[in-house]
Amino acid sequence: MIRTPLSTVIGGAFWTPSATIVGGTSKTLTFSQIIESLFSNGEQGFFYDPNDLSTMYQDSAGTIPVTAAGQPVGLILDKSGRNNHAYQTVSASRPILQCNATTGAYYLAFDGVDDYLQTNSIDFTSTDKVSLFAGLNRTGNANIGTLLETGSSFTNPTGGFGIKCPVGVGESTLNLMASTGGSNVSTGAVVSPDKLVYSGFIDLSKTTAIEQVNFKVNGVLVNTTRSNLASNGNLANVSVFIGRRAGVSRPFNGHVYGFINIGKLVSDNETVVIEKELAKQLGVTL
Amino acid sequence: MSYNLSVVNIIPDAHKDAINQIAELYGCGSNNLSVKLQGDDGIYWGCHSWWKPEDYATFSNDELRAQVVPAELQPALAHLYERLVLDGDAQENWQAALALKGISVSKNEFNHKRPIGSLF
Repeated sequence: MIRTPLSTVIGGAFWTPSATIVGGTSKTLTFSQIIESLFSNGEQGFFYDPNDLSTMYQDSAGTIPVTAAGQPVGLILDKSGRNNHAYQTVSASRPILQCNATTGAYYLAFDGVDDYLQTNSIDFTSTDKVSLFAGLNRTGNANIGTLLETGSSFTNPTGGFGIKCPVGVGESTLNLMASTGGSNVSTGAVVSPDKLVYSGFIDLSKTTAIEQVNFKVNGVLVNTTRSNLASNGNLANVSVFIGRRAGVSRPFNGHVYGFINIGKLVSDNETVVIEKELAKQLGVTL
Repeated sequence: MSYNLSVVNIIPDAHKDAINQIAELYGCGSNNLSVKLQGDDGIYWGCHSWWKPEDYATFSNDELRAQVVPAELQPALAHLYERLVLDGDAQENWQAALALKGISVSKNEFNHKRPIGSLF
């Protein structure tokens, strides 16, 4: 259908973001372009996309490209535009790029022993809000796991945040934690399927714990308890660890399909777009 | 060739620094043995890594190894436990190695018991 100023739309037809306009320009935006647009006002954070092989290297110096599944990832470039790349200088601790045989999507496989990635310090000091998105497949729960955490722990330095997966030994759970001003807040441990799209939201401008930390599993807001209450305040300038607490303990055993961290609250509509894409890669139905 | 050889390494605490130095000489970074382990007879350190089989063959060739590893570090290799599984599963290999050695991940490092009332 070609739409002109004189077009009459009958029967409820409507334009979608992927509609092609003949004689004009396509309005189709790739998932990467949509994510990059979220960072267009200089927001801090990162966007790691294992499906973009051009962003990964086998070594931390970025000299040996990742060209296929089965290779270690020593460096994954940040596609947010903030240059918060994640790296691993130690060979034994590098996750492996793998491919989902059903969906064809690539993911980072963390071995649950010693694999992790880390960033240099990311300056979140101008914000009290964070949104986090990840496609996950938890492949073991024998130990407490750290999917993501800042600093030596999310309370050190204060102004940090983190996600445990699982929260306790032998549990199929995860959570969301944040701190500021020497105080902290945390959700309870929420039971989840092993394959899930995680959407986390931290807002430390709020004055109740239930408003400060929230997360969704496969598009559904979880109903859980909260522990403690954080004071109002901004976040820290701090390194982020993915897959292991401070690179020392609590290794995450599982697969990560894309990881997005933005220093603001993402709108509901934007959240749905992100969740749908990660769900497609994972092969889960929202 | 793919990185499809699952390798678990475990070393007694006394030889950890020497083995980490050897790994560094092979260009593997500075702290490969990073998981603290507890045995009945003391502290051990371990790691899991994925290797290309041909790289491992090179690493375990005595003649080639002598060209890379200085004489003072070579005795530590006699204490290095290795468990190899081609096309293996990392966790299965790791857990089997710990069980065979009769050691476990140091409780202080890994599985902090949550105090009552704490959710993190």
